[in-house]
Amino acid sequence: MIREYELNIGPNHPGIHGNFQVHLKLEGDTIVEAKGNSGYLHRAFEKLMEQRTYLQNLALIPRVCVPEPDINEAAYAMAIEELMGVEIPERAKFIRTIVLEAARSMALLFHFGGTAAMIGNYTVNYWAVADRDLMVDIFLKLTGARVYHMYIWPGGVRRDTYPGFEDDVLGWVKYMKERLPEYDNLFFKNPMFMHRARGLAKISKEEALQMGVTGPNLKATGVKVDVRLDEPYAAYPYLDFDVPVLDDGDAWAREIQRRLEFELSLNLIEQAVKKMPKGEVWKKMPNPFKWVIPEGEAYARVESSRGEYGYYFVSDGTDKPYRVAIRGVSMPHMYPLAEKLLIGQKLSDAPFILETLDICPPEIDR
Amino acid sequence: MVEEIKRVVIGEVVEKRPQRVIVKVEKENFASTLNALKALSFNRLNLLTAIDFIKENQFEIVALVYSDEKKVMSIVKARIPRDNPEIETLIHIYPNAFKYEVELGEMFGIRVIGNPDSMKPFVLEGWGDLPPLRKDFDSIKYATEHYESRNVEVKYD
Amino acid sequence: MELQETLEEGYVEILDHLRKRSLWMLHYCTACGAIELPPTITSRFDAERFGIAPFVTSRQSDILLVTGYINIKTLRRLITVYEQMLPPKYVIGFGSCTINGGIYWDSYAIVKRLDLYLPVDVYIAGCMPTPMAVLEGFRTLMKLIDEGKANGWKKYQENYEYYKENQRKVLKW
Repeated sequence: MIREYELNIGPNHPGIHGNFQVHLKLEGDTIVEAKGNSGYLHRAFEKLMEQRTYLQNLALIPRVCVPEPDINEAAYAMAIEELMGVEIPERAKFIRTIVLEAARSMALLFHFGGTAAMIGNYTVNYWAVADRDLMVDIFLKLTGARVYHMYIWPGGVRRDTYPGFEDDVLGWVKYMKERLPEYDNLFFKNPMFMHRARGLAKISKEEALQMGVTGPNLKATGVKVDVRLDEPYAAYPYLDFDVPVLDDGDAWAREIQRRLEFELSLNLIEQAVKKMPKGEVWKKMPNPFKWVIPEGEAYARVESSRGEYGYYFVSDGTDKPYRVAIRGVSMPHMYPLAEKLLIGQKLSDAPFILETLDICPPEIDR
Repeated sequence: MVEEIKRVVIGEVVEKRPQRVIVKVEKENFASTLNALKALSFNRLNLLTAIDFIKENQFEIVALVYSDEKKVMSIVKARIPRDNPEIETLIHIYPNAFKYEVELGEMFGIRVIGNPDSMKPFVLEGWGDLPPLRKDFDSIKYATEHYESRNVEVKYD
Repeated sequence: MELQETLEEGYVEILDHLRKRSLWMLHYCTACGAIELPPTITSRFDAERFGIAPFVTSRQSDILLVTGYINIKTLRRLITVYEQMLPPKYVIGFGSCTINGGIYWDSYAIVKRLDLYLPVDVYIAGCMPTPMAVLEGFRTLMKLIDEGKANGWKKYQENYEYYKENQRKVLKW
């Protein structure tokens, strides 16, 4: 006799990346229906941004995406620069690239720690969080804060780098390149990981394109789409790189895709540090306490560690924004995709599948 | 790309800068314009949202669609009246428009015809007031009336 | 009678001295501040040397750590989780959003004062607090337990009607 019952992968759960709920209907051990329930982190950013001036908003926007706050500042700054028609100096472009790639590698390390803990490999969490903390120290010396930097401004970056910055960053990159074979032996080439993740929760290429999926989830199915190649911003036109693509589409391919992108990030940081020119870092905007942006609309997008992240801006010529709409990356990953992928899987695989999709709940609720 | 779009669309087409094309259409042609753009290789719906123009008594629905092949993003807009707002659904063209339409109903009060979950709650629970993202909803007044804050005097010494 | 009372008080004092070195924290990441919890618990700023370790169920933990801003939808679940824990239990408010609303003071979905709804023992200020500030907050809690002053759960039981009235007003139960 198979019994039917309902369970919650609820808000109080050590196996989810944040605070959201998935309501499951089960028959025995197999999932029959899954429905998501968001709203536990809703702060109404789009309403709060209309009540503050452009300068006051800079303190509010890093808090939208918690593990990787620099992408918010970059997208906001790029949208305002497009509306005002301002071109930033060369040195600022290279500093922005180094900061964004370092933030991407920190977010990927945090992700590896959480995913490995879902199949019982707790050592990766200890190693990854400690290695990430060494880069947080460099950010503390550069910007003054550990988590919310507020460093990338419209017009460039807030201040120049401290003497010794290049040596510190290159030292961290060299250390991580020596550590990567140890991570491989511990997690990526571990037979337990391969046994559990091969063939699990497969997405096909057509399904992914239809549902609006972007980032490593899409590149693991064989489609090469990346904002850094399609619409290059910051210093990417001067760097020489290519984006890896895998073919399988299952949970194993998504994790290996992220590990290859981590290695690419380290190479890009090295290239950017060596090619960085000297010069000024901020192009002064007129009237610093009351920026008035001309009328118009703009959509600025960046490539975060999860996919395409964008800000759609509408301005009406006063000193406060008229409407800001945030394109969160995880909205298409949760709402059509995760609810379909979980049907037919076992209950003990469900947190692992949700972690390999890398869903960040604050981007859905805003 | 602008010439090909002008041939299949009834409305105003402007190229704002390389890789951004703005298309303005009437409310009745919104769904059919997106259908035509999908056949022209615009395969992904990036965002579906709305803007409240309270002085002109209108809402503006905005859809951002992107073509991976030609690397062009198209911003499609349509104006609808502010009293009793309604629009047709897009879920048979782009499946990921489902939750964006539920959000339109909750945050602006726009009913979407053909979506089974339209006007149901998404992030708010037990909300009985005006839809929050409209311009006539005052968030500061609501917060000071309903949530008590700590009355402290700050002394500098 | 007097001898029995003195013995009971002495028994509770010894238990408090031992209890403060083995507090288990509920691993419920409520909001923003949860990004500074993994560095505090793992090897760099080791909190396990004080006996504080994360645990998964609410029925077997001692500390409820409210990390950051409090949304109305989360507050309903937080009160249920708090009432599931067994006494003696302690609540720590983490970050400036639990003190007076923080940067979201004008939002329609954020509650401004946590101590109208749950009894709070220690506040840790900051946005975010660094791991060293978190460890200082834990040490303050341990000192209060030692002196017998961390009595939030007794206050909740004695003033039950006051807390329930505040909760009903804001949550519309």
